[in-house]
Amino acid sequence: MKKVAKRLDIKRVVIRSVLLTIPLTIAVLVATGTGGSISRLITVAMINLIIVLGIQVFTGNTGIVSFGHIGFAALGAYLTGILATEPDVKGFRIPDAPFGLSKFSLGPVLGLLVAVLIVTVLAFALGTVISRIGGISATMVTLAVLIIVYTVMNDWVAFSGGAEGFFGIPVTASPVLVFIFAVFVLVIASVYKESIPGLRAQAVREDELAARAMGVSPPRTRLWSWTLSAAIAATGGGLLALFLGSITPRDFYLKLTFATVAMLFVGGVQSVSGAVIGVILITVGNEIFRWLSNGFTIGAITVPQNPGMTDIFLGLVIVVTMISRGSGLMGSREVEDFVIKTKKSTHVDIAESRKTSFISEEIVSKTLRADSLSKSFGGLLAVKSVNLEVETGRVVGLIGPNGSGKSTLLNMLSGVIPPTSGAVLIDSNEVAASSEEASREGIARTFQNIRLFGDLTVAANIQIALDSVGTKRANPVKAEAAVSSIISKLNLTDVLDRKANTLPYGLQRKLEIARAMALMPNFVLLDEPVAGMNEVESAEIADVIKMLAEDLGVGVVVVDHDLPFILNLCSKMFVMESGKLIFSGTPQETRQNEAVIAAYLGSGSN
Amino acid sequence: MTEIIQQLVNGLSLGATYSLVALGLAIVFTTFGLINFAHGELITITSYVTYGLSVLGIPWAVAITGGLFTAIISAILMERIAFRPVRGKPPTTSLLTSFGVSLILQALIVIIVSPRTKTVQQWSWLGGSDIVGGLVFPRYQVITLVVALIALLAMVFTLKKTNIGLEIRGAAEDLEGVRLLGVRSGRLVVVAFAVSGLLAGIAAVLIMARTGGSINPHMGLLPMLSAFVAVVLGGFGSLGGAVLGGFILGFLEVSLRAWLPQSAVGLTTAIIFAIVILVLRIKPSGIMGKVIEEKV
Amino acid sequence: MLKIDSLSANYGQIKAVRNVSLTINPGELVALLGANGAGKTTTLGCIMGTVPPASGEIFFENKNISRLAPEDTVRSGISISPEGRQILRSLTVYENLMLGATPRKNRGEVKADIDHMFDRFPVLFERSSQAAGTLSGGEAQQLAIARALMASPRLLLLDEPTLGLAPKLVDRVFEVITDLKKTGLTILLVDQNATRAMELADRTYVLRQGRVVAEGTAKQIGGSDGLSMAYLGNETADDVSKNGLNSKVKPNQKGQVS
Repeated sequence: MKKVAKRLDIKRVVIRSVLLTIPLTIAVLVATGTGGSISRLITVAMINLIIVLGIQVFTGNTGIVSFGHIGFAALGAYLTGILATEPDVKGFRIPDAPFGLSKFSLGPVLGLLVAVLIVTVLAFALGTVISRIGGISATMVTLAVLIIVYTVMNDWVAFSGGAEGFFGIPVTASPVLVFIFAVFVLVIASVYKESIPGLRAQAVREDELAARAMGVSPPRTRLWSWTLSAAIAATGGGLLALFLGSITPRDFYLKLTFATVAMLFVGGVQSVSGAVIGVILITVGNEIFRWLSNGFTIGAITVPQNPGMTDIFLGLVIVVTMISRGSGLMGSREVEDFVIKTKKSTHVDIAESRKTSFISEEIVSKTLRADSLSKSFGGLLAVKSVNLEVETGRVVGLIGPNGSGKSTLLNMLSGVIPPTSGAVLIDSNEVAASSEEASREGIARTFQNIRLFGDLTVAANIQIALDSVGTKRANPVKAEAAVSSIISKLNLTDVLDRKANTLPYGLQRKLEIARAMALMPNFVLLDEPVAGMNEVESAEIADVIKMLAEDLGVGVVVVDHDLPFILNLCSKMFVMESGKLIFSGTPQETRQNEAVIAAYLGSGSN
Repeated sequence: MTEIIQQLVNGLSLGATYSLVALGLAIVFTTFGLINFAHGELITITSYVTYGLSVLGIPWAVAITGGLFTAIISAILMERIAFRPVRGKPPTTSLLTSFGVSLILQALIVIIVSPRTKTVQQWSWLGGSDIVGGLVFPRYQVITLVVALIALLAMVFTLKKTNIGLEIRGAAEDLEGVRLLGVRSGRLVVVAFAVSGLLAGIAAVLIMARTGGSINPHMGLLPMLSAFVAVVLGGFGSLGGAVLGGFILGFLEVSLRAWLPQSAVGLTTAIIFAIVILVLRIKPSGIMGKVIEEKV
Repeated sequence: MLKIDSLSANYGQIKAVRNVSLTINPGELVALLGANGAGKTTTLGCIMGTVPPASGEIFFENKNISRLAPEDTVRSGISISPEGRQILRSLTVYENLMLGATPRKNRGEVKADIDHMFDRFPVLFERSSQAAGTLSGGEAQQLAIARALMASPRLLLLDEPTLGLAPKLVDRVFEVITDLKKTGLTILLVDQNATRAMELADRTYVLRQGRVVAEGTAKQIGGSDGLSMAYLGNETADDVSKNGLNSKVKPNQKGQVS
């Protein structure tokens, strides 16, 4: 039995890490071989790489641009510096430091460790705010974090030594040590990106609503990403302190922010390889422009000294990157993509019996019930006291003219929006009105306007649902087996390694169904599953829906405008008009009901 | 009591200045979804042009007019060069683009003028103080307050009572919707940026009055950051929220500077921003922000 | 007055409108009908310039308007009361009406026209200084129509003006449309109350899966029986099931502009 996707694609991570370590190795060899200013330049660049990778872990995976990580690097540097420095040296710079900091020293190793730990805890606390805000407002808050840290380092003289900086830190970080850290962080960033927590963060980035419907909590996902990334940035800052021996608040302010943003985005914010490429390009470019800005003479033309040249270089790089593609040189690709040829996955073995529910050994019998659900939007009643029920193993249809309240009803059933009154029940237990909760209680759904995690692979789309909820609701082995059979039934096997947004329309619809089923639900709500599909595809979908109900024992609610399709498929129909349920009965009764025909042709209003 | 009233006036005047900057940011964001990180450079540019003209011996009124005019033109040029190519993309894209623009403009000022702080020759009438109702106020505060309030009221009037204001408010709610009513989006974007430039320019003059005419290439940064924080605090997407946020920040800053012990005054900005983060902890969408229910 | 010539339009990956031709003569009320997802709203979007046509041309008063931006379409004399009303909720009723008059220059005439709208829609007068977001569905719809009229259009597009309204309010909206027709205004009406819309209209076009499947007067189409045939394919509603999956492609709601 082949797994949908390996929980962590070790091969990818290894190949990527090895490939990306090559330039780092060359760099560190040059650094140790030359010494002097070149060694210093290379080592600082590797430390910048650590900080940039820290930001990449957060920004790349969650899509939220953060300026706050430079603040964490600053904190990491200062705390490391202060904790690592000998009391006699410190006593001179910061004799009145709080917490008796000037009285003791932890040494560089423990100092760095404790510093990173403190920053991580602080970042976690801050993260509880930022992770709830999300989007562009969160970016603004990270900017506030940077300013706060800068102001504190600049003006809390007793603690930091103030604007003149803090010096006398034992210089213990060698180029080789920094290299080892850089490689380590490279591996961590790669593992995170390919692992389930990273995939979840990416799912939230791609489509927050769909992610929640897969049981993923956006704030929690962002919080972990934020905290991990802050720890990495703090490590980078700490190493810088231990390498340079002296630091000032200005070292961790706008210049570094601009530089790291340029490094991150020119290579591609979603790519770990992009971070490495970005650091190399910007460092080299910066050096060239620094040299140019010292003034030079070509023939008769003398260019005078211009200290702002490197800033203009950085600014232009950022502007051009954003205007041209926005996704940087690598996009979301990684170096190994140029090495590994995506092979076609072998067909999945579906010999295993499908005649059992994947929830437990026997088919469970449950009923999903809308109990007089109502919803009003700003005084307008969109759904008026609707009762609807579906048992496991049955397919029911929900139809009605445009604007009759079907989507609103589906949104309430799946916890996307809370009802104004009434409740959603499974048997007699009320289901809390949240997507995450609904998915854990066994209610899955698809969306009318397709909400896939577009930049993730087909396998990752399914894996997120399976790991977040599916394997917790069902025996993991059985769950994987069931999902494999659905994948194969929906003809998705050959496209598992492709990005979801590159699939043709019909397959995208099928992937949405497969992803919903990977939650191992008792009930699945399908919002216009055959919209835009041709005859053959519609028939396939009808077969799949029958399989879900008959073989897997799932209760299915189908909303669609294709009357022939839906009347053929369902055992029971519910018809809505103007927010009310106007009819329920068998498809045969539905066809003959005057009110239903009137609702569709609109003469009922007379 | 006297001191409290004086602080109140000071807080109002600083708050009104921040509100002008925040309102400029908010107009561009609410109508076109663009975040202008280079908004602070409009303040810097206005100041340098005013400085340059003053150095040439041009009367202050003309110098200021020249500064304001340059701010408007610069804002319109920014839109043309940097924002038009990224319109319709997520706000993050325009944020980063303008981030780059900001860096380039700062560097250009460093290269063309100087990295050092310059001082605009003080206009004599800014010095001294006024006595209002038996209380003494520094004249620059009174003037700042009056000018800022007039500018704000003029903005409110424009937004509420003129056709272009109506178009801006309509576009803030639904840009595509107002285009279906015949509102020309191409013209509106120019107007929105011009207004934001003018507001930043006025704020620049007030800031110069406040700081005794001292200017430097990075002077736009902190007012711009405060304005951003004001916008987030007030609620992203709300014009009224931006103004409210600006006043709250102004008052906080003035009162903290007055009451904090001397050794901690330097931490004012840090404390204010920390307070804002705490407020957002309670209300993530900002004071006047609404949670928008996404269409499924 | 309006002439659509072999128009096709895609929405995302879906072919929403296929080779549609349609004519509206001055003073006519034309109904454009079809089941949900048939391509009606996309057609209106092409006329207004919010959806780019894939091929085909649209002429208004002999001028090619196929590639005009929405604001320029409005300025050439076509207004729309969009699906879902799309009134500006934070603005007052009066301000919504003022914005509707954006293309017009003479403010004096605009003010007079607003009074005229208040005569025609008394409920708007009562609520003129309220935020439009506080209006009920029926009131909001009247505002949307009044606002579209404020531009003094020569052609008015009404996209689902009765959507989600209670029967009584549906009557009121049809009353308004009947009145507008009497004034000689040229109207293109899209509505789900298909039979009623067809009976009111001078001529009707029925779309199915993005194609025109029937056109003509109510008589030519064959009354509501003919309409249900046109809606559902070659069968009546009663024997849909026999033929099952008879259709090739069903555009989904994405194929519409909302």
